[in-house]
Amino acid sequence: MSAYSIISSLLSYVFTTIIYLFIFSVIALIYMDIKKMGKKEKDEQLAPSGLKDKNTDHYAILKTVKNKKMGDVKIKAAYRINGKGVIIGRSKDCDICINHKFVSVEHFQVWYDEGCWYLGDMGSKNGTYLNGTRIKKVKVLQSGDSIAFGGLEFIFREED
Amino acid sequence: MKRANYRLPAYLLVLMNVLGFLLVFMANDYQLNVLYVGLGMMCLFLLIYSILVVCRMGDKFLVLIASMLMTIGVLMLCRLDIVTGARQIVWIGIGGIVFFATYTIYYNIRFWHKMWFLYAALGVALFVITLAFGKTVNGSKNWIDIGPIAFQPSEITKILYVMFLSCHYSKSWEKPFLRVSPMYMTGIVTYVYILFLMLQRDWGTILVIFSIFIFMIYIYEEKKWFLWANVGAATVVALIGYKFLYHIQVRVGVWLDPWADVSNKGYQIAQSLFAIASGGYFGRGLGNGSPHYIPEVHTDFIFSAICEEMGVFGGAAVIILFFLLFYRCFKVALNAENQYNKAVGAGLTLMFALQTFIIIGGVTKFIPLTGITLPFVSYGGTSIVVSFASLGIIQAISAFEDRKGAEEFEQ
Repeated sequence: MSAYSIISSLLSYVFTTIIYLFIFSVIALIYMDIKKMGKKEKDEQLAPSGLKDKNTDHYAILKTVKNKKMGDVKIKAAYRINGKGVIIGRSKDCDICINHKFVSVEHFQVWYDEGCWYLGDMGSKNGTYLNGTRIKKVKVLQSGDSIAFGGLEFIFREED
Repeated sequence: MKRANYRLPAYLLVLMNVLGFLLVFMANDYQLNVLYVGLGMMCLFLLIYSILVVCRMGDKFLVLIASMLMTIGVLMLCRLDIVTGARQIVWIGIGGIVFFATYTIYYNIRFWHKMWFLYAALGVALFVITLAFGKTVNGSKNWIDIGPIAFQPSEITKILYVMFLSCHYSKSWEKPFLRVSPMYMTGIVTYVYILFLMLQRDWGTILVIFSIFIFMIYIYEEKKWFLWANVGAATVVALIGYKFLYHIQVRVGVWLDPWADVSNKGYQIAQSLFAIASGGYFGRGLGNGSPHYIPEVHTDFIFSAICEEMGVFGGAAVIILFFLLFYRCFKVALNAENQYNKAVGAGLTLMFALQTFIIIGGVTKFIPLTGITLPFVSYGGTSIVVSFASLGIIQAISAFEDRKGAEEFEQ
């Protein structure tokens, strides 16, 4: 048996180890990637489930504030929203679809529960601002509050 | 939570290359050229990986996994024949350039979904050129010589075919052509391609193209009868082929019982099985085995050689790496928002996955053998370059998704 074949036989174990370490390190990275995404998805579901049929008789109005940044976005002057919760975003599946460059696919959510209106950011890229401050998770809305997102602005008003 | 270590896999890749090429260096009487070639390939992998990470060009894992597969393949080829190995590294270099070229072209052109006619016509044109000017290798007339290099047009046709199917399945092509609805047109084009491939006797590519077609129908088509009609047609064609074509009868016969004519027809597959069996768990070590007994060991049967010299664990590792690659590719396709990109991503991943399944299944006698290359591992210029091109397209699709966030952030 030559020196080469001895070294080669020994190295075959080393190679196997290296390849499997490589596979495990890649799997670990992919796993972290998935975990991050799972967390994001969890954050996006803010409104407690089971509100669907509960608060259908509460309404509020989101009034659009016109500004120069809007460009030629198709947006109504005001939206009447239902207490069971609405999602505002760029996706066509959203309750209010606003096709604007700086609006995320699902940007924020507004809903009514136990006597209060709530505003929640759904992990948007550019953030949702309540009266000028960026919100992290859920905030209670008062009548007359301003909701700014991606250069657009709504005034929230509760309907009696 | 521990911070993600994006460098560890790259370090392991470097370690694998260094040890592997030192071994090849020893085997080749300490010629320094071997080391230069190895160093060149390693730098190429690191360069591609760093560019992808630094320039935020989408998914980071695709190229990393493909690099590991190519390292295993090249080490095996260098051990079999140093000249073939060196040539493969040159092809990998060209492949790297093609990868970035395809990435840039696919990323910047946004009207791919409108050109179904171009894809179909180009595919047919490639077939006609092959039939007219092709040369016959191993019974299949599927090679074209252009000056010093020879290439297989059918490999390029596969990508064109996937892009053609995607036009229909992404619903961006709904107008009937000459009163024939797109669904029937995809069927007609598929059968025309298969007819051409039959004339060239390229059975492996027929299997790949037809399987892509069936799987795409399974994924996208709402009319289920169309799927069953095509599966039925495939069965009929396969039965007719088995009845009348000697070539297919031999393949199936050898698959059922390789020992009946082991010195002649069953020789290749029997040698492949011997090689896999002699490897054991950890293999006999690079250079200790005798893979030269298997005909075509550097292209179709490279998996058997890997099993012999790197063991069952090495062979399983190759399969796991392929699994990871396909998983990432499918994830890119799932995440894509554009329907056309989604279909192309799924189709190209299917192409890789089917090719891998068919050839690994073939050499381990799991299914009848048809000669096609193992993506990224086998020797073959066209195979490597086309695999890189497909990977470039998938990379571009993943970059669309990644970069959308970046664009929004630049407010």
